[in-house]
Amino acid sequence: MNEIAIASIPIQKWEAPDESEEALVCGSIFQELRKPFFIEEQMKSKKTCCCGREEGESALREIQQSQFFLIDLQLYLDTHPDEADAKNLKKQYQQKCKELMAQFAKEHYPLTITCEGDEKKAEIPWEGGSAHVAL
Amino acid sequence: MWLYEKALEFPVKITKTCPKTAQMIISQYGGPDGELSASMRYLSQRYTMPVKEVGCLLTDIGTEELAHMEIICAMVYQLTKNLTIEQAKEGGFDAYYIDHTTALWPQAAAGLPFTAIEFQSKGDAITDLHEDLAAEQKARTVYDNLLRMIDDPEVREPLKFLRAREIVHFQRFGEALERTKDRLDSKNYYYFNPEFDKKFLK
Repeated sequence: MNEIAIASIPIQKWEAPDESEEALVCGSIFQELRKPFFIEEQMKSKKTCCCGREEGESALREIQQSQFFLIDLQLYLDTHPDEADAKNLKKQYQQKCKELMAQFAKEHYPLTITCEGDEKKAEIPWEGGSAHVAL
Repeated sequence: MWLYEKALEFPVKITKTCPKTAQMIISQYGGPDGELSASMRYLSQRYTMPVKEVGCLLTDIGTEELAHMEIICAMVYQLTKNLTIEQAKEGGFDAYYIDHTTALWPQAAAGLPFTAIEFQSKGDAITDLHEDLAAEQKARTVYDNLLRMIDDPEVREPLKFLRAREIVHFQRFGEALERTKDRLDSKNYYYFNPEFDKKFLK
């Protein structure tokens, strides 16, 4: 640290991550890494785009939240491979994602090639959900 | 290899057609600091990274950037899918329409096509990680600029998410640089190329 002629970035210290649905909205599971732009506060939207979800959509949202937790945690583990708390949380969320994906495949449609389910029911991800799809 | 998952990393549901907004946002698809460029940069650099954890990080972030590219494309698509010719003309989308109708094509906001010239894979871990740190900052600035210009909350929510991810990635690349430095001689980080002269690595 404090060397000349090279960039230095302090290593993030472990803090209990945010397991609420806020984490996805804020773009990080770590409070410490949330650094909004002042314009975001000035132009705070009265309504967010998350309301008025249909049943299948909120099930998908839960998967997105859990997977995001896993994605963000994995990046932390890539640079902190020995953090025991992070490794334990990873195991928990791997299990949770597996269960949610299997349940979604059963009740709605398979999200990946490794999930069993009725592919004909599948929705196109970039269409924005059933409420706005005119197929 | 990659397996496709039929879900976006962050939900996109835009109900209002706006070709003007689409034209700005498309820069984060095919522009100089866009998600495609980011993904190709990291997924190209990873093969020769001398520190295993750094190669893993480049794979994970490079993969996430592919998901970000899909978010951007979904936004452009939804902003233009019900486009009328009048809207295309008024929104300045007419030139794009002539060549691509409403299909997705990777270009910068000003029309320049996607090109690999926008990123580097230099074969020196120190150099490449500095490039990656800079790339995350450049992408953040683009999201800052987009957030100043766009007021539709349905568009802003995913943009805020993508901006936040740039800051997280910056931190991780910084930590990856520190991990790489641990394997070098702290008296002179530039004594050898850690990707080419591997015999000197600690």
